[in-house]
Amino acid sequence: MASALPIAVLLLLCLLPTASGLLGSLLAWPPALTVSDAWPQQLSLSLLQSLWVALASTTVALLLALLLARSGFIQRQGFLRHRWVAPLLSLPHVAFAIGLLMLVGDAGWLWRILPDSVSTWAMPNKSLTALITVLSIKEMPFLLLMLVSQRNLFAAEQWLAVATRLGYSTNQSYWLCVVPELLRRVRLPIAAVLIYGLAVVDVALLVGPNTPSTLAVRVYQWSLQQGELALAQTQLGSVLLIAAALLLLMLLYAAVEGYQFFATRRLRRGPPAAVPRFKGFSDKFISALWLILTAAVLLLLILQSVAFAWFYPQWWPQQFSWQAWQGIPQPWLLLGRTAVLALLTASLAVISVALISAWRQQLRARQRGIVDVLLLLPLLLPQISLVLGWRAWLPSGLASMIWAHCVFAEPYAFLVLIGPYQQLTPRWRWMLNSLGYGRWRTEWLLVRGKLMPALGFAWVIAFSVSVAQYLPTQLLAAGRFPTVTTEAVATASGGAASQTAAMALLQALLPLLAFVGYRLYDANVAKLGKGANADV
Amino acid sequence: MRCWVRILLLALTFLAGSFSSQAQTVYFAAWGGSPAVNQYLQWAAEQLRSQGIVLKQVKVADIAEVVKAIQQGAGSDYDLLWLNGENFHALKAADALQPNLWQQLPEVTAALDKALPLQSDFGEAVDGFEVPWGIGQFIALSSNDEILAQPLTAERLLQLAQQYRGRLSYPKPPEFHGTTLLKQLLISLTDADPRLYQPASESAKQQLLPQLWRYLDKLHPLLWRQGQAFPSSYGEQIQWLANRQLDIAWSFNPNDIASLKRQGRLPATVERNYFAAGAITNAHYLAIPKAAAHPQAALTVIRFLLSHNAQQRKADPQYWGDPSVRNDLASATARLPSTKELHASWETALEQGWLARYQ
Repeated sequence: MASALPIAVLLLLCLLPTASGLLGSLLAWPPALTVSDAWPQQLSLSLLQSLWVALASTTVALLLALLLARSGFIQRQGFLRHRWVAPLLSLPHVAFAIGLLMLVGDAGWLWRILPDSVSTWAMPNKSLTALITVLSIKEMPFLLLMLVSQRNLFAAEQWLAVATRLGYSTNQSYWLCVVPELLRRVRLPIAAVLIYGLAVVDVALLVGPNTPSTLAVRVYQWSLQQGELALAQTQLGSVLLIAAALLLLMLLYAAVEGYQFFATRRLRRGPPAAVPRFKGFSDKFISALWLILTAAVLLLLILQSVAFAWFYPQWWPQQFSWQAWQGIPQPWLLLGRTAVLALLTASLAVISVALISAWRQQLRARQRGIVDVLLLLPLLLPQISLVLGWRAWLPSGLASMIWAHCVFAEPYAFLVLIGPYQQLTPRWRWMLNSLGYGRWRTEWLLVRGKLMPALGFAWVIAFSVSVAQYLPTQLLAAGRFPTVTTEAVATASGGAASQTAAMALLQALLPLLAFVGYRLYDANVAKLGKGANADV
Repeated sequence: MRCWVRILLLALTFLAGSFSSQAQTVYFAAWGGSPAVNQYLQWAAEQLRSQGIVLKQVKVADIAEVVKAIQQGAGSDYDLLWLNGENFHALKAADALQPNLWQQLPEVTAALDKALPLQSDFGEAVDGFEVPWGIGQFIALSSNDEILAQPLTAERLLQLAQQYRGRLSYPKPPEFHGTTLLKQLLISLTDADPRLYQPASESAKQQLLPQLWRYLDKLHPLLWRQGQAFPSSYGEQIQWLANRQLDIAWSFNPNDIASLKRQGRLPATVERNYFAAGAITNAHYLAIPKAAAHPQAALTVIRFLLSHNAQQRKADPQYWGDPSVRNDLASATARLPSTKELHASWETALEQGWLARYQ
């Protein structure tokens, strides 16, 4: 009986959505296609572009995250200890993409203050470079968070100590001993980032190439067109994306194993005679660069949103105006609607994940592995394939939309909670049980006493994920439920710089508030000395 | 705990309230790509509130999305549509539109400008399934004197592209500004062949379209990023024109410039130009889906949008600048020399041909 509820939640939020989404996409196979001459070639180009975006952005983000996590493992401190970083981490992808284009895109602000000769370095609009840059920078903090949350879960410190005593530099010890294990442990989050890069639609619509677009964008556009051909193309593209996702997952597993193999072989050869000193490209430099970039993006968005008739090559606006802000129709209603939706989503997602996590602790290791994969399934499949699959049988409306938001928020909440739950030793449960507390009462006491900060953080993440959802909101509510994100994408395609900047800021506002609120609460908890501080 | 339950319930009611269609809510599916249009519709919504109607714009990137949804049975999600051409044809053919709008709105019909070709939408008879709302004319925007010097032809555009390498572009078809440039070029290249105004036959396509493809093969290497990428939307090219990344942008609103300058989106130096054969001119329309939840309220909205006041404000370059269709406002906005729209069937042929060759 006690496990009925978690299993029901698992079914409703993980198995049912993925199964139905996949079936909705796959049942239509094979699509009724008459192949025209030019079509297959363009399609493979789209597919290759998508695969390249996923691989390149994930590799760059992961490398940066590993570099930054290094100090966390070596010196037991990371840049995440800076409390003001987390709010910047919450900047939604769309808002960040808009700001980055204004900063370093063609005719961007940076090229206005630098001499003409360097402006060839501008990030070209509508290109793979732009898409990969945005994704790499935006995914890095998430991966870093996942890496750092592993800190207390295995004996990295001892491994480092042994390796350095054997004559390896700290740097080598980190890359050869700790990283292989780390990679194995965060395979699923890396996979989520890979699949996100493969299937991202909103950011790719704004900055990605369009001759042809990446596969996910083309599937999205086909899904909006009419006629038999477009329908067949949608189905074909949707299934191709799923196949590409499977390919990427296999590649990832092979790469992680391969790295481990390489590291082990390298270790067997023993420490090198002369340790190459390689300190130049320090993690402090990367984190500083990343912070400056994010802060510059935010400041530029603020400046652009109040600038009037501000064109290249002026580096400072000649006139200021509130026009862009005043032009947003009913901003409070928009914010309120988005916030309430995210509030509901985050609460439902965190409660259900907490239930499952408590239940998961009592399972055997193998069963846990299965539950983990099930919980993360919605992130391991292309979002557009799932949403299009649902649209085939879900009625468009509020309930469908909330459910879809929960399905995508829940895996992120789980990724945040998995570490803290594993740090709860079974001793606590035995103790409370032996004191005569029942099963659910025990769980509640543990949550109250030990997990509140972690749950709070998971809630904030789920909240941000819900705010940033584009496809489920747009496709499952028939466009009748505008949120800050759908409005931001729509406004950005309208091309009015100031309005776009204002909408991007409005989109960034809610997650920012949630993070600040969490920080205040967390600082309070830490000061009172109650509860474990979440590892962020 | 009870407090949380109460908050949750409140939240749910709020969501449901902002979602469910109240008795007099009119969901208006309309292109959302222009802030001037969106602001005009906001004004209209404010005016209509006194009549007990809540007008909600469902912003779409392309009305074809909604047309598709309606064909799949989502007609009750929308009460009012802004459309023309291909999309109108599709819905009329699918018998998905309310008939007899002209009879139901006699005062509107009587006030329509008889000098305008409003009875036919891209060569297809309107038959009372839609009501004209405004007039579009295809123009070029630029601040380059050379580009503005004389009316455009296909030949002249090629010359300019050679002169200003990498400075010209157009929105990627099937975005309708891009598609309309293709039509305008086709008219120029074939000297307005009469077959362009008939349903596109296979032989006509085989004889006329290759001229356009040969021309574009020459033009594209001279365009922005050698024709390897295109602006995705109308708005993007306007922004790039303002930031001097492009020397030309295309618009379907002859009075755009004033409203764009007023919004601080274009520098004062930008002026307009048009094609020597006449700017392609068409009307855009309002229609009600057969399955609409509130057809009566939608009729009231149409009546308002076509009223003297609403049409006057719409035509005012201070706001939107979209020419009026009323006879009592014919002189409110000057019109450019015009040429007819091609038959709607050419649109698909142009879009598919272009996508197969250049994307």
